[in-house]
Amino acid sequence: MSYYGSADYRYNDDLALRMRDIKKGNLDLGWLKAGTEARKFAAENAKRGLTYMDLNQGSYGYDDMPELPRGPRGAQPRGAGFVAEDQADLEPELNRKTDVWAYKVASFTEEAVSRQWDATHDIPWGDLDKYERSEELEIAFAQLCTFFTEVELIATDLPAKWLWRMNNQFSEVKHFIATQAMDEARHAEVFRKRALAGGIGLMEALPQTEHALKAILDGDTYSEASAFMHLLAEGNVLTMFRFSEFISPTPVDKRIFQLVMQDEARHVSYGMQHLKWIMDHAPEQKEQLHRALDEGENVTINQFDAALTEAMIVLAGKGTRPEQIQDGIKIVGNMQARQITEYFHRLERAGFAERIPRSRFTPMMADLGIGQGVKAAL
Amino acid sequence: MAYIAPKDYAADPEVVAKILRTVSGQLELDWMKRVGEPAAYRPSQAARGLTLDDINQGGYAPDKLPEVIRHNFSMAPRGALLPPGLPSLGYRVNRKSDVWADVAPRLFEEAKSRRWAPARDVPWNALVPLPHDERHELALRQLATGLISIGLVATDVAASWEWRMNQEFHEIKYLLCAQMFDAARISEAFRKRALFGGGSLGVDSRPLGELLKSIFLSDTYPEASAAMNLTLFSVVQALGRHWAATASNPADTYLGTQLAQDATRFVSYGVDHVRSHLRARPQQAETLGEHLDLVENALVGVLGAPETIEPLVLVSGGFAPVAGFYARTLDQYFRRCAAAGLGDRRDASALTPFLRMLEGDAS
Repeated sequence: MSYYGSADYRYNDDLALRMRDIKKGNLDLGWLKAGTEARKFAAENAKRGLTYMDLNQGSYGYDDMPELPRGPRGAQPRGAGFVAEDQADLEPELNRKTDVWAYKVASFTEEAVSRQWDATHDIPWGDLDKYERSEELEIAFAQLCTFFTEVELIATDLPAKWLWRMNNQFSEVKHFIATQAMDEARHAEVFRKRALAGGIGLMEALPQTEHALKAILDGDTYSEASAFMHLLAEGNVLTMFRFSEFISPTPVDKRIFQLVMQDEARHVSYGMQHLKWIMDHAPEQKEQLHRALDEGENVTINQFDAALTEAMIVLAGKGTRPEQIQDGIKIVGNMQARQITEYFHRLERAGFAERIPRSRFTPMMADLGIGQGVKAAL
Repeated sequence: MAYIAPKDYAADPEVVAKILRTVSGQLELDWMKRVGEPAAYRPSQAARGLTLDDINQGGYAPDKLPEVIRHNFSMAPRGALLPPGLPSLGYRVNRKSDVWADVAPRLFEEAKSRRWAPARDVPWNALVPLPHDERHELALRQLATGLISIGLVATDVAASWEWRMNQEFHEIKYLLCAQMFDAARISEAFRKRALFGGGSLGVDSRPLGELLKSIFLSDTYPEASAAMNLTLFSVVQALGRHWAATASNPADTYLGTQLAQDATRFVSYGVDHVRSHLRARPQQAETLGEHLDLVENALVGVLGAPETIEPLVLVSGGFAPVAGFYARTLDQYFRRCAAAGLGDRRDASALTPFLRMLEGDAS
């Protein structure tokens, strides 16, 4: 126990007297004079219901929240009455709006809450038996599912690592992060279930991938970690989900990728909008983010050299015969070039286009002589 | 950037050469031979879908987990083959009995299947015009303000431990993610409840802040779990039921019912977790008991705070219903503590003299 409250209520005369007064019907009712703002709140769009955006007014809103919300450091909700000297200080570490905020975060949160799905019921698991699958394709798919099971939980651990350090004034961001943790737990669950339903089971974990996950988890600041995870890593995974839907061996698998894609797109959008917020409000952080992405891109490059790439080639070419491998290489090569192109486009949209010429991907792709799309993006 | 990769891969000719070999069609394909335990699990009941219990079989099942995890500190999923070279991701909670509860996989399944969205599922318009008098409404808004704080800190507590837990306990990590989601939704729902219409928030409560801080700063996960899931959420569950029982309109009935339903999952995990923990390590009963002594003391502060008890008196129609509500809630809580293996806590608890204060007449 690290914290002992301010009173021992076993020996507390104030409490005993208060209870006696309340029993007699003498209420203090000081809390009725909260002095907090009264406003009219209603759902702007009846179909959408009562959203955070509808509550974005005055002292309750997020638009008027200053960069440094001075005073509140406890559990009080934004807009509640409080006395700064009398609060239980939860000692939050992230107290600048720029540390965490993103454009549109309230709408991302609402979308996340309304679009929850269930890997248990919403995937027609029983239908897997209706589709014939060759063993080599199933092995490749099991490797892909092992990879996704492995990586998806980074996006629960990383948000969880930072969430509790954030000031409670940033409740929409904290709520978004909580939804992301749930989304990613569900992703890990669905890929584990798919691997264990397909006949092969889980395959080998990937050390190269694990080093990238460690680098994400060990980011020095939330913004560094977000740039690496939301923008770069989840951006790559989003492209892979799209590709995997395309090469899925069965409609059951297509359904899985359709569902995870919608969640992943939301996470990537948050990352992009957080980066954009930083570019607009704290451009002095650019160099720090450059350095974080230098290393993030470096560990990402190492992942191109992995069993994962070969598994995707086998799936894309639909087998291991030489002509199938050649077909698979073309498709996967395009996908990998697209991963980088899309990453660059996201950097541009976030107002961080200056990153592109400095990117570690740029010379590597030139060395490999692939990725015309990347050149076009440049 | 705290972690620096062992190599500059972008400038490593080996990496580029390997990729070029792959691009030219020279695949190794040796990974295709490294398969683990075959598995082709199907739903045991088609209507229920493919549950975690359905896939927790053979080498993939948690019952094969040792008490202390020594073999995997990476994110490799339980049951995957572990090649050399997997790094440590720094997990600090590596003992099964520190986190495990057999009921956890089922609670995670329930959390997903009983999803609801405050924006759309609460019939907000049932609050217009106000179905009760202004003072009653202000009392509900004050209670809602406290529930927002509880939701915020409960999200933090689950988050602060989830990322430290070994991946071998993935069902518990999933459940903690569901707790983050559920707790954040409590905060959302009651913020919307307090503000909808011509709304406002009430005041922060110092005793509530102290209770939440004492839970948030628990030294170990079993302490945090006992304090949050068992103690705090026993009260939250009861408050949800009370909110629904005293509701004057469908919106409040719905909110109270959903609150109680979500809180029940926290309580169920708390009871089963503490029970499993003490079964494996009975010597921890004293440590947990001491922690709960302090948390229950802080809880007395909350239950007796004007920001809690006075709004309850107003919405319940007097002091006697509140005294009865407290007595029932705490009796149920003490029974749960006993069921979890903590023994009869009534004698030691600061809650007992508080309950005595509530008995009898005012003289």
